[in-house]
Amino acid sequence: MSVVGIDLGTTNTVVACVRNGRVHVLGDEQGRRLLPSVVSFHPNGDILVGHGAKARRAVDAKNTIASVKRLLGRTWNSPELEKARARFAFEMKEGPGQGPLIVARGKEYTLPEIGAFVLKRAREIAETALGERVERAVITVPAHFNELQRAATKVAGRVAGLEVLRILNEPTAAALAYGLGKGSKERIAIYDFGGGTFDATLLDLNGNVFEVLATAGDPFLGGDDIDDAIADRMADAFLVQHRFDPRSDGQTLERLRQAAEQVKMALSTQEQTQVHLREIAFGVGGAHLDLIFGLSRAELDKMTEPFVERSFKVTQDALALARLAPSEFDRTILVGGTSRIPLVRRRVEAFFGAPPMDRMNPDEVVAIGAAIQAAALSDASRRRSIPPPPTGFSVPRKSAPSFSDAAPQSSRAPSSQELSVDDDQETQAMRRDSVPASGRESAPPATSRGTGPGSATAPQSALPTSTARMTPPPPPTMRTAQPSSPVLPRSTAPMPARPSAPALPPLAPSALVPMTPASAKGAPGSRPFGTIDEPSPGSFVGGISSVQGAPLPQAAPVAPAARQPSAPSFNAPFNPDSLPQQSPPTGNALQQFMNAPAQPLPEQRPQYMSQPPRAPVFTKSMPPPVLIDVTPRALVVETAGGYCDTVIPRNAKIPCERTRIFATAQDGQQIVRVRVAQGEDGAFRGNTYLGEVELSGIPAAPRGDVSVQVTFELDADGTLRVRAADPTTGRQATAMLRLTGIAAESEIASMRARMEQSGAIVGG
Amino acid sequence: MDRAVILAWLKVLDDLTYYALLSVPDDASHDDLKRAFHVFADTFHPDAHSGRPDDEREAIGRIFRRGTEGYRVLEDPALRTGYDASLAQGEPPSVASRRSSLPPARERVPGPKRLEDTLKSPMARPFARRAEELAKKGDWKQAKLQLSLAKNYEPDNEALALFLKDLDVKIRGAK
Repeated sequence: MSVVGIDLGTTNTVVACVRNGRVHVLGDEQGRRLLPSVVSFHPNGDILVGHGAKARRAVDAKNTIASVKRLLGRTWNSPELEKARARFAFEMKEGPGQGPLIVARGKEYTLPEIGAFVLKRAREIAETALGERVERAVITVPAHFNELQRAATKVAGRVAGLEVLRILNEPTAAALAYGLGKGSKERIAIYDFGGGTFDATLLDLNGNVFEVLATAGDPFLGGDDIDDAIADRMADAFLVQHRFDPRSDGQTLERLRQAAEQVKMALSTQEQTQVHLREIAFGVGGAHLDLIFGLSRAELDKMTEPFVERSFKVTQDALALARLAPSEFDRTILVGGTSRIPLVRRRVEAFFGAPPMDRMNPDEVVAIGAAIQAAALSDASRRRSIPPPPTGFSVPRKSAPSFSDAAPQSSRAPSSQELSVDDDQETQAMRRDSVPASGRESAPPATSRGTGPGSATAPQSALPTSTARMTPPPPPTMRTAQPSSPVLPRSTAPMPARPSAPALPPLAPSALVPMTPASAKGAPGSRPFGTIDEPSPGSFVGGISSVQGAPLPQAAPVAPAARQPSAPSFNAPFNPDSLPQQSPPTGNALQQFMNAPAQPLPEQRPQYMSQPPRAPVFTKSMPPPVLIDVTPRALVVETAGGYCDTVIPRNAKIPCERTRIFATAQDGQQIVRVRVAQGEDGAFRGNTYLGEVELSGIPAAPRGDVSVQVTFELDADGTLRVRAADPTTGRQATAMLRLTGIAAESEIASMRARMEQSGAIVGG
Repeated sequence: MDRAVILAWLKVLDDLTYYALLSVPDDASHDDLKRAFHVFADTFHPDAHSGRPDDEREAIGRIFRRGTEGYRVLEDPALRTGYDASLAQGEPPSVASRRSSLPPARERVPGPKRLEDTLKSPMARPFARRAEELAKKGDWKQAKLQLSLAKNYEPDNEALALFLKDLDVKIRGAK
């Protein structure tokens, strides 16, 4: 069973997978690696997804749904949906819980269901290419996506039968594809200009650690806008010639948009282009009226300029958040199809003062990053060893033991002292403190939900999730740590003492944990990352190896049929060490094999083998990536008078948690509802409403005498968990945050069942 | 094995200063801090522990979330100053950190005490705020109206009563 990374784009979807330490972008039966994110409901009952569906846009716009990603997670009354209703030819109506429904051929579909059709097709492509089932995936979203949009994307994945391991930000995925395995220290800017959205993300790359410094985005800025502008100009031209406005007919407008996209793409390589559209309308006596439309690159540049301008406003916003200047970046990475426009490239270069990195295919780099993260997250043997906590409560100046220094000592430390304080009662008491009174599935950390064989853990082995108790100082093992400033893992200085901690003497009996097979196996060293099919794990060695001169795939490489000849640099293997200006070191041999005539594939060979390597090669000793992302919008709670109070500010690093205390507003108030929204507006209503958490059973008291402690926890997905607790009684809220407009578990199950029964999904 | 170490971390977590948590000296520079945070993240990021049982991952996640908060506070000069001051006053790290996690705007602008700060009822506060603004502009009559609305929620509040008296004097003086 494989795990894949899926870039679910506004216009195109790409799926990739790590195999034998390499990333492969997976192509369909015809070798095409871009799957148009379009779903079309055919009169014969078929559901077309991809190229076939895209072709239907021109003839059956009413039953062909494109750009659904723009709408995912939006409520019926949102301005985004109003805009979409004006723009798209397909029919929409309001469903339960403000969720919009799409009506096609008499059937109603939720937005996640439409997304699920695309994801299901992507999954099929992957399964065919890999020759095995695919049930888990990392799915990417624009960095500015809010909670509701992320949750809706997750639902779409689940309806498509996928376990969503992570919702990953697209620019961060691109950074991962670029930087993993380089082992370098760089500051990079990701300029992600896609079909529907724009994101600017700034990162510090440090070995295997990727720290997002800031991110900013515009949900309504993309290549589609440029298409619309061109289509508008076409319509104007037609109107002048024939006194008929093609915009009056949704179907015709859809044709113009498609033609406009072709014009735009042609002008990325040519200076001038012309299209001939037949039978746009019928004139006197039924004569058909054609449109011949020509455009030069200079004219396109002029039309594109305002959109590019907007993208730099967003970029400035991100720079301001990070308090950095454009000149402080070592590298710019272009992502998304719109970044292929020559004007965009020129402007990015001028803005940052350095040529943008273009060795990676901007259409595929996000899926590649997602695949890398998917492989890392599904590695069941991943467990860093942890040094013991510092002993003093304040660290003496300039003599702080670093984690890396401490690690070796930790492994040898006989920790009898700490065990002696950890008697049964102590552990039990701590657990009582920490476990929420409510039986939410995620509440008790250790008791019933072990993973696989690990579920045999004895109750007393539970680790408290929150301890607020002063304990005797931890073992004095740190005394032996050599004083030195923290050392960073670099390729030259391998990460010290990650692995192979010699087994410690067992814990005191009460705290003893039955070793799970997995943990026992993991003890001598983590299984290397990215070596899915390799039999011998080998020990996990710190350090990063260069990918330079990586061997070719073992299978005889065959150039895929559908290679685009237009952009030779994208065909070169990704080589992070080569600057854009330089030719790749391995270029000659690789170019030769890639230019070799296509050969028929042997039947039994999995299809992915036909793809040349696209991205970093993983080695046994490469530490898996650690991504520290940020939340794009502030999370706020409503306070009296329609105002709001920020709990987690914009651009906070995740995972994180913050607790705020609120007082009751009325005498005898026994229920507190905490309403949660996302955004930076001072008025609660000005932000995107997410949902509410209710804390009931508060002891009756005068207003203000009872306080409620609200904890917001953002996990690595950027997914929010809100807990409310009454600090006086220790009572925790029973309800977790229920997001508005997001399907409940039962609905997801029924959508999934419907998906299984729905007509065949037809690709091609 | 690690389990005991994780447990030891949890026990001292609330007593560790952010400096100790991130393993940096008190006078760490911005660059020191970043380096240390990256080492911390590489050790404690929950993703680096995907092979562990749920409870261990949850515990490690807690340590990591504390670390991101510590990094945020120490990275911001204003927040760091406030945090250092709290520590210097002998507040235990857990209390000091709670103080410093208030939004920076409040942290930085203590300002004179406003009328609305004396109110317990959140319903009354907007009225008190408006009343104070109007009084500043010299519109005492409107201010009085707003104030009486606030008083509906908190009839016994002394500060409100005082302010009202003051307004009455001003209104009479204006006549």
